[in-house]
Amino acid sequence: MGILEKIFKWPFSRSLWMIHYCSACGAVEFPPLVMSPVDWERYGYMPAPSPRQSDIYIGMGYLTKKTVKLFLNMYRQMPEPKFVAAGCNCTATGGLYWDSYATYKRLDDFVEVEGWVPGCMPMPDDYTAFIEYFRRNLKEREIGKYVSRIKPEAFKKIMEWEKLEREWLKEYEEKMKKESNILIQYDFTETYPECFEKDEPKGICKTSIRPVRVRKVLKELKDKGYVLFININTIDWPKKGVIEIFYIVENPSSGEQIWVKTFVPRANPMIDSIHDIYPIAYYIEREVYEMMGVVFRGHPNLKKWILEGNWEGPPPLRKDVDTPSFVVKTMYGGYKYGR
Amino acid sequence: MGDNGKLVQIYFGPQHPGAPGNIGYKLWLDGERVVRAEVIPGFLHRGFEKMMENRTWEMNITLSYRFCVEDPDPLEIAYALAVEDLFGAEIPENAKYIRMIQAEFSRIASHMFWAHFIGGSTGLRTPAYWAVSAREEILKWFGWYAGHRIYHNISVPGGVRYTLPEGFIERTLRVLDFVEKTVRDVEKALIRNSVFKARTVGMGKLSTKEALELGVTGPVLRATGMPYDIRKARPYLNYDKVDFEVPTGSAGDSYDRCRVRFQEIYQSIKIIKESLSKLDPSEPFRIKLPIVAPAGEGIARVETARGEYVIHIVSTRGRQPYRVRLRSASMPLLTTVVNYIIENEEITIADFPVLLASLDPCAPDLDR
Repeated sequence: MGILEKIFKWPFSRSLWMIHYCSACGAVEFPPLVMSPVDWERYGYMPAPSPRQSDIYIGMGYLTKKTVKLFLNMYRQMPEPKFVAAGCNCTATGGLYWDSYATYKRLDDFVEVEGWVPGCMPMPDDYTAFIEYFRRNLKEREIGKYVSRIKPEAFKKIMEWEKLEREWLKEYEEKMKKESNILIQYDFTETYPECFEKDEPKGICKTSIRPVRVRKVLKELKDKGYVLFININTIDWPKKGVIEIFYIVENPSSGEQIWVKTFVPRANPMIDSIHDIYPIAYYIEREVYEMMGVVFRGHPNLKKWILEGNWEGPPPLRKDVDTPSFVVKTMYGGYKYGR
Repeated sequence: MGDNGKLVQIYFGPQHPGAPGNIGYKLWLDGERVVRAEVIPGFLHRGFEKMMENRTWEMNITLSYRFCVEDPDPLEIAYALAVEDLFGAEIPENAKYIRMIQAEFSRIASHMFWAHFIGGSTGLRTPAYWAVSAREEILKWFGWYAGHRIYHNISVPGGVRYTLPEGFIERTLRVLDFVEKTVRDVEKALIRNSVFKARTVGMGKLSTKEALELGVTGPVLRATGMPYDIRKARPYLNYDKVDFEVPTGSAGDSYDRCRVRFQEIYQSIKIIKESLSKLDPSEPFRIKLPIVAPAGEGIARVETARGEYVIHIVSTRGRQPYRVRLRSASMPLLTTVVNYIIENEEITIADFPVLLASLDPCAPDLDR
């Protein structure tokens, strides 16, 4: 090793700047690293706010599909020399989320990885051990090998997976068309304003209404003091042919909740939107639409929101949408631990 | 406005030090002022509601809390409570008090993490460092008691997993003393600082009526002057048997929200101390529940550090839940509240991270 090379390598291995991108839950262990008690600044480490000034990306936790696309975009903006390290189990094997439809399972499907920090989540000491190893490693390396490259097939893989999801969506839509003539076998009695089930200590009263009366009843409840909108719960019942919907509203002066139960047919799930009565329902309805496929009539902006960029297939929370087998088939080649 | 009379569009996050985690905003700027904001979620979506349908009741414990990393324990407790509600089980008193200690420690850790976050946003890094050191003590306590620093798995359906180790009470009290001392320092250096006041007083105002209309619960609602807390309104565990107050603000601005959070920490410390005195090592900590759950529904409502959390579990008699539905307390904070404040107040691009930090949203909680 020449003296020039030594002069170049010594400061470089002591000024690793990591891109400040808290990509997942592992990032919660970074404040103890950067601040007290571990204080990584003594290793020349700094979180850099811009990709154009950073040297290393550490994948912290699970890789959702949207994050991976963003990461690839960001990583291409980083100047060489640049490196990728993988923290946590999820970047290595998919971890706890091995059957999740919204995550990719391995970081090294997309990019060369310099080091792995296992654990869920890794302790600050584990990360420190990695950074010490990496500094030593950098000093011994040839200058030409100062980069972890994006794998050439990375983008092709993503496109292939998304194509499979779209195909499944088409299949599912055709199946739902066939199902639309099946008669619904579902008993329903309207009890509003009486409760059909009451839970006194929790202050919950469940009542049921016909789907056409949703807007009228919720307006009435809001005038009665149930001003806080909590959630829309949906339950899919393929055998009965319906999706049950619970609108939860709460009275903050007494802490009482009313769960308004109603239903829509599975094949043609349409119900009136209530986003103008309760503003937060605007967002919850969008979430329910993408996850369960319930269409809210009158909603101004009913399109994908959380799942945009994450999932192209059929509504994942439907009971007949078997996402775990799809994931095992596409990502693991048909066998869960096949890798 | 720009030269040609158009608004300037910029992206704020997800790769931005001021963004609350991995979540983005699309901002429309008129000069310096933010006139419109649109949240870009989904970077942290894993589909918990679907994954929980494929796992047994025991396995779901490890999934039940992972959508709010900063404040996992109330979510874990809520899952356990909902399953017990489904089984119709009554858990031992000891387990209730241990869960309360766990939840309150988690609340303190979460608020300390928030203090670090808002310290970074306002440029006050020193108190932020102290806050992280106080949180570190709590994480070490969790590591000692449960074996994990961030995720704990203490509460399981039927009780708590661990009995009392040797020196439990002494060590817990020692941690509390350190935390209380540090929190007082952080409070002095952070919220009594004139720079901090200049950036937060009068910013991001909400009245009680508006906050309720927007769907807000938790400290942000309490800062508007409404003492609404599930621990008081509909007590779960043994919150009705301990003595604590619900701190409230009056103006409902960013500064009041910060003050309320610090007051909450002192109340949490009080709850932990009282719960510690009621533990009895000779009594049981856990009852055993059967593997197969009966058909029915289980519901739990708990107060997390960010507001009310509701979990709804449906079972059709089996080893796995049929459907799990979770309520995110951060969704209103990131969507309706931000939009409302931007519409009604002059928030500049420099103030935007401070506003977000004062609301203390948890990004994965929205995505799940």
